[in-house]
Amino acid sequence: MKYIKALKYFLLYSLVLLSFYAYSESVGWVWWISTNTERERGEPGTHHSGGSHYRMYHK
Amino acid sequence: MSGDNYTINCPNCKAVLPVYGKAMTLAMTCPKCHTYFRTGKWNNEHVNYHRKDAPVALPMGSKGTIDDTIYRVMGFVIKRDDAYGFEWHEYLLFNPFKGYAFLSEYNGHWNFVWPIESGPVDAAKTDRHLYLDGDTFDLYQKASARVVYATGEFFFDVVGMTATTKTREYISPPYLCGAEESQDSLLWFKGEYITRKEVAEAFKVDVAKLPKQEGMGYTQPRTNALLTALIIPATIIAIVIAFAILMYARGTAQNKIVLKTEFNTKNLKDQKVFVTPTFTLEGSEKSLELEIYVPLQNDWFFGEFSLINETTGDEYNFTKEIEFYSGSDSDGLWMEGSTYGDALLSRIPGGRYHINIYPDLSSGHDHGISITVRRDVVHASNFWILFFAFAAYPAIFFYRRHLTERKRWEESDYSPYHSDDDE
Repeated sequence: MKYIKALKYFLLYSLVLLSFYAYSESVGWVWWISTNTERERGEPGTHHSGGSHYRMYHK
Repeated sequence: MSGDNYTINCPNCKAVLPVYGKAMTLAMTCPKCHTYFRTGKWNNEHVNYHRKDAPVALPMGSKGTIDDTIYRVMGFVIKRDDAYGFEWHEYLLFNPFKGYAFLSEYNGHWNFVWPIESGPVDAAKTDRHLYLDGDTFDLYQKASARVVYATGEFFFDVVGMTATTKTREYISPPYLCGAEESQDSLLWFKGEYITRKEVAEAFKVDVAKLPKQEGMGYTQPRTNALLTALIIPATIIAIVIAFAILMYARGTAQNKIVLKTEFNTKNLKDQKVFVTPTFTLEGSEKSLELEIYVPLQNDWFFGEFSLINETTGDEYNFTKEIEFYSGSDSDGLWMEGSTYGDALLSRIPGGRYHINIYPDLSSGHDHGISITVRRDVVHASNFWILFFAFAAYPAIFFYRRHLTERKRWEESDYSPYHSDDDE
């Protein structure tokens, strides 16, 4: 029956969402944050002490 | 009931016609000249009904089983509503023990209808509602109609009766109940929605040959009651589980301060940048929260921040603006803004880090800037997104059910969804 199917879809939908939520909390994954963060890949071993770089970040 | 020895002559073309209903048949149509006539000698009027390609889906004389009862298809009529001109089809069925019944079809939706001995017995009958067999039926339509096509045999003068009766129909899906009323008669009937597939299976016809369904049947069953009853509890349970996950995450989160430092803008060198001491983030990916305090007074602060992983060189860049104004006017003291700001960073891996801060202030005053960095902070924002994601399911379900019910009542003059009903 399609109604049993609808309930099954809801259970599956809930299971997926709850599992994803639990995983997100475990890794500190915030789905939406107001802070607009850009990530730049760097070269291992280098670190910027702020001596010669002045970056413009946020658009 | 073979009908083999019972015949009658068509009053128009004189064809000899078998009468399957024998003495019970009071009116019939000649299959040769399509003349409808009453079999009794008391009325000699007859009407010619000829319609090319009449949509007779169930052959006259065919048999089918409904509710464990075998019915023979005796007659077929097309009726047209006097007010709105829409047409529907009715099949007269007969069983020698159960008597007669009807299959009514409109826009591909079928109802099995049978006469009942008496109408509602409850005293609370009103014109808009009636109560029968424990169900409340809502008035759907009042109509008068006339027959525009007939074929087969009938146990009553279907053409004459239809022209002189007014019908009231009430629905409690999947059931209907109603009355046909004339000056000297009142006939109550009850019906139940039957699917196109069930009709095809009952009479062993190809379902593709039955009229195609359009729109919604006015007695089409409502959403399964079990599903309706379960959808909200299921949603609540899902939200409660999400809340439990939030509480567990908060209870087990470290919420650890990994850096607390202060700067003063008077110490800014030519590079215009502050560099925090190196700090270590333990473990795997976690969130990171920066709390920034700048004791402003009618001023603003804008900072560009760069969180730098000293091992991989990865940078997480963001900006933060803080402003605070206060004063007094005729209404008293007022304040706007805040001296605090915070930034939340997601999924920051473990490692050694420092932060570069490029501050900008509007005035030439020196300001202190305090930075506190916390590791593994749990916020409720994910939970609230999940809350609305779960709430959307029953919201959409009930909205669609509402739309379905509106559609059911579209062709009714007594729709509860209309602001003004025509009586």
